[in-house]
Amino acid sequence: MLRLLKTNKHEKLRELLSSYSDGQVSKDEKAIVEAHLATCSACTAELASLKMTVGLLKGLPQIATLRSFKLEAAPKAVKVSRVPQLMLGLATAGAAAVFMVLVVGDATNAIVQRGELEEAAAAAGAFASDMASKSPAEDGLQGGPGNPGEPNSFEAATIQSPEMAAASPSQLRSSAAAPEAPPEPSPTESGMDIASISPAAPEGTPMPPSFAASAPVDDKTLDSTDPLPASAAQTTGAPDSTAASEAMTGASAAQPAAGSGFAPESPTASGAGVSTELPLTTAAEDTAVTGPTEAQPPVSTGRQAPGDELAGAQPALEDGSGLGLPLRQLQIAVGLALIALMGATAYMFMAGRRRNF
Amino acid sequence: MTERSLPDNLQKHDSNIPSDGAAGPGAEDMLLVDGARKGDISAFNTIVERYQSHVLNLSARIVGDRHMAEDIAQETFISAHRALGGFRGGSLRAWLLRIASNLSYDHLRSSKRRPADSLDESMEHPGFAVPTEGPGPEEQAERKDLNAYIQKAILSLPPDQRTVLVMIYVQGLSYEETAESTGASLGTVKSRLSRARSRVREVLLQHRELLPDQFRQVH
Repeated sequence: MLRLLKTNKHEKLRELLSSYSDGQVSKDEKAIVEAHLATCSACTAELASLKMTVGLLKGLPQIATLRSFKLEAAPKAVKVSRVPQLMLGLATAGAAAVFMVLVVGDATNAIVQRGELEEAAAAAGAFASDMASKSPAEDGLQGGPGNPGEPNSFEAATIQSPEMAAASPSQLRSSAAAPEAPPEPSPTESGMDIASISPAAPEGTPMPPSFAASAPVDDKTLDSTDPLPASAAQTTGAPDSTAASEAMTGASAAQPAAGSGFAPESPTASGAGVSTELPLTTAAEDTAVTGPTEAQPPVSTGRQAPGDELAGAQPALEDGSGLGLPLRQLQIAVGLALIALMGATAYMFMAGRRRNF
Repeated sequence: MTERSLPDNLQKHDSNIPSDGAAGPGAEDMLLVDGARKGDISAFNTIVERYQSHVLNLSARIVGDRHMAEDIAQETFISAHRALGGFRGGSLRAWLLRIASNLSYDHLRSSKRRPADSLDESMEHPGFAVPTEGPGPEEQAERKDLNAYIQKAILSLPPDQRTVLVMIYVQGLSYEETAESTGASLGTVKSRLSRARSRVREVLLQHRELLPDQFRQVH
């Protein structure tokens, strides 16, 4: 340790030798160096060689000026256009703004994508038409011991009686879009799964905000099934941060919920009524109902085997709805563009400074 | 005035350079700058005459190529004339050398040539170097080889260390003036200079036979 300290001190003093030989040290530094030189022959020799090196450098001949560099006339002023700099600055600012919107929107779930609204509207429409056309007996056959009188809440159908969820209206569009969906686990199994991931589960409820805003859900149902009121969901976005973050990677916040909800073991599938019942509908029916024909991304998730839910979630997210690009990829693309623009701006700024000296 | 007699004139001009801090840092320079700003090209050319040797020497030592250094020197004064409005006082020499060093870096980046050879050749020409008095032909030949080797050692340095070393030990700038010219702090200048000097010494010691006896005796 003592040797190390001595070595460090020696190195520091060697650094001082250059300035010392030029007389560019303070009084204290000078005293320290001279005290060290009195005891260190190596540093003394080094100082001598450094001084000789300086002597050789100072002995270099001046290079003769063989021509004059006088100006015959004042050189024309070069007007550097500010337009490229301005455009670059604006582009950088724009990219930064877009990036901030994407990031902040992602963090706060403020971004509501087109697919969510369409899905919710379609769900509501399908539900209404189905209710108008279905008889209570038919419901009973399909849904089992559910309550046919209160099917107007997807959450209620899912939570209160999982078997009823199989007959809930949301399955109409799911089955219509995916008539060949492979059979799901039995309604009982699904019901157990749903129960395990129901809002009572500790993961909370990833109810899609758009659905909460537009679906015809009565207050009673919300109170009994969803711990987050529809108004709260609408204003604060999806309450489940896990599901929300998953959702941001895709086109719709509702889709990942549906996809993950289909996976019984998935911790992110915390039982939102809509998200969990969509796969169930495909499990229960297939050919029974002909509902609205728009293709629903969750259906593709529902077609997958139970072991593929997680892997299948991403394709569902990337399905054409929403912004057309997964949000995460959009963030990365805009972020990279922002970095490139900032680099170009910095380079232009430095070049301008060097021009102005 | 022939070109051969130019070095003598330059020596005269160099001796007239006001020392910074004496009668005001270049009070005369500021008068010339003011005149040049008002469009007096002769005032500017007086500045050129005064500092062209400094600019050329710094550029030549940095890039190691005489012809490139001449181009850089001309560009330096053209750029300086355009940028006179941005000169805020201080050492005019440091300001000009800053322009020259920046342009030298630009040329170094854009050039793929080995710089040392051209300068060596130019140094061999009797008219290129300021003639030294005293030594005989043999000694002059030895000194020429040594100078070429020293230049090679300088070119082995990174550009920032090279610039500081040349400014202080070849151009004779003070530490403070070098800091002003390079835009670095005084501590940075000291650090760069220390590393540069150590490096040059190491390179020189690789060819002890070229070094003076006195130098060899130390090691």
